[in-house]
Amino acid sequence: MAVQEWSGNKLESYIYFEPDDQGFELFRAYLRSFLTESVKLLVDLIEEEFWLIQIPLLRGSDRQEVINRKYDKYLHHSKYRFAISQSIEKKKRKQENLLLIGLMNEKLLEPWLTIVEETATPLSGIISLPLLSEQYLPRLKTKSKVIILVSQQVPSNLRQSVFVDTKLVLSRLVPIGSFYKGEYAVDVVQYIESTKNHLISQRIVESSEEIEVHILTNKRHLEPLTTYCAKANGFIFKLHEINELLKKQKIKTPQQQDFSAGLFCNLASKKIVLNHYTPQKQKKNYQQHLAIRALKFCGVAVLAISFTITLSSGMKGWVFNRAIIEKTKIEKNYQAKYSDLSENQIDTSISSRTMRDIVQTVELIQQKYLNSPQRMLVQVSQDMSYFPDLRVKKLDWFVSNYANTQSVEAVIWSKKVNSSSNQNISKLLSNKGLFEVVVVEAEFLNFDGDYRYALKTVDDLYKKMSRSGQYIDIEILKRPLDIEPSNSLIGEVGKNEVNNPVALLAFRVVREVKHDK
Amino acid sequence: MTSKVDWSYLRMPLCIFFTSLMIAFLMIITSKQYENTQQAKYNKSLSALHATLQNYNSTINDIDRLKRYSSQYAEYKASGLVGVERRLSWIESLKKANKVLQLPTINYNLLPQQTFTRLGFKVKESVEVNGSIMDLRMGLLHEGDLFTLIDSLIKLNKNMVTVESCSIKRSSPVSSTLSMEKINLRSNCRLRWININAQ
Repeated sequence: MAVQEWSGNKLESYIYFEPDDQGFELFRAYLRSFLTESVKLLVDLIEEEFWLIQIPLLRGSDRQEVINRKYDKYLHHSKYRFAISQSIEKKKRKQENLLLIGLMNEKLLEPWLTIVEETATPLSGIISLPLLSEQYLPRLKTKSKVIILVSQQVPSNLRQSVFVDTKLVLSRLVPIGSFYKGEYAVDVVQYIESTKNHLISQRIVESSEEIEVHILTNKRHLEPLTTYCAKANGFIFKLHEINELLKKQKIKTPQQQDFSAGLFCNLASKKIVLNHYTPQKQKKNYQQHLAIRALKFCGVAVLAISFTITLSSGMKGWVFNRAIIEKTKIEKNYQAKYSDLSENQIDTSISSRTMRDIVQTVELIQQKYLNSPQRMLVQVSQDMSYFPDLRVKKLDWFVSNYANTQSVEAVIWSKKVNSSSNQNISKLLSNKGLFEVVVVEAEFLNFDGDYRYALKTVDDLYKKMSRSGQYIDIEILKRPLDIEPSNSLIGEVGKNEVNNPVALLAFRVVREVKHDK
Repeated sequence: MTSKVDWSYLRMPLCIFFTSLMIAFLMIITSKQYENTQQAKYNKSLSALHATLQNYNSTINDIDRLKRYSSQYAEYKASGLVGVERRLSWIESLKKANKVLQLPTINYNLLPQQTFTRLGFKVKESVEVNGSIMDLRMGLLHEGDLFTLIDSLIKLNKNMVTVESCSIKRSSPVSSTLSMEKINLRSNCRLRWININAQ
């Protein structure tokens, strides 16, 4: 058992444990030394069987049922077995190419797994090295259909994995005794040729087909292998020096590597969820390990979030505190100013607001609501002075809110108008504002009975006042003789006619009171 | 295949997790309480500052208003326009005005005070505007006497008087000439003395 500790791309340590009691004890002690770390077990064992079979393309439990039957058929005695889909063939019925792999000799693995379980080491997966090497192929930049990858993890065994269309179909682990002494290159090539023969016999490749062979080897064996491989026919050999590959992949190792174990262990260390053989029982420790990790992460996250919230709240509180201090200072400042002003303020019985309101009210009344008859009466006198025959008998002047108010008694100052009792009045309330109304009763001086002249004078007076533009309404209330067709006219003509006839006139003029703004 | 959870293995991490949860909870509660307390204090200080500012501004405005309106107000108060109405002064001013005019008789009738109303006339709630009707009945030599009398009343009192109606009637036939010694016209006028009070 070789144990490698990886930190990213750096191989931190490499320890080898012999498969004997002392080795097991040392392995147990070693695992106990790092309880909190999860481990992966990369197996490269003899008696690992590979079966490429075809099953109908199924899904879910049906597929699993078929796989279980195939397990019973091909890997009946294996406790550690795994099935992986390699490809789907589209014939009449769709077929799935399934690779069944299984460890036939559990005794090789059991002692180590027992120690792993005893020490409660979180085992994240048991990974088959040949199956993992499938994922290493893209790095070798292969082009051929059939590829044999030759690698060596220990001095005593040579691993040959066969890939068709980059999918693993077969892998063989053969003992080799010439790693340190002997014709290593000859042995390797012989094994490769043997594998080719096996592939031909299994009809995986044609005899004429050239196979691309990638050999991962160390510096020491590179030259003899290059020389000997050049002599072999039917293969395209590509030799890769292990340390060169490590360098290309920026993998750091403490010393030169003779074996390719480091390459695959590094690849395995980067696979988080890869697992081929681990049964549920062995996974328990790993799940607990994951639970602990999750709890730790959640704990740290909770603490971090709470710390952030606490910090944020603390900062806000501090900012509020600073603002309070500043505001208190400003408030004191204003308080002092306010006190000074209050002490110096003039003491009055009423508030300044009321004082302002009173003054403004006085100004408003003076501007809009103070009336005198002088202007209107002067205007009417001027208009009548053009007609020297007319003498005023009586004159009524009044102010009203409505232009069509007929008499001073009908003036309504209050807002409330009783609709039932003042129906007639409300009909008249059409033109709102402030109006001066004058009702004039006049008489013709020295009237000689010439009604035609008197009526013409009235008409002229009406026209004169209309043209003056001073009034909004002029109404003749009474004429010297009522000749309107709608009215009745009563009089007397003859010898007994009245000696001193009287011609009376009454009219009403309205002016709107306008105020300068 | 199911496997039981090894609680003894998870006890410590769970304890640590719940402890950190408790600590986090306490930290959040305490900090939020601190923040809320400080915010409440801040709001209190803010409202106190607003109140002080309002008082200060109100005082400034008061002083400004006093400077602007106090002299006028004092004048109105001295004249009797503001305050209790001075009916005696009105009668005295009526007598004073007639001393110049020398009208034979002026009959007056002062009616009880009532609220002054006009269409569209609105006053502030703090102000009360009243008006007292004064009916005047007088004999005139000519219409100019009427205007002189009204002007004199306003000037003598420095009060607000509005004339609401006036009726002038010739006392002799239109054909007769106006006498310079006796009453030629009879007039009835309705005046309204305006008086303002603070409510």
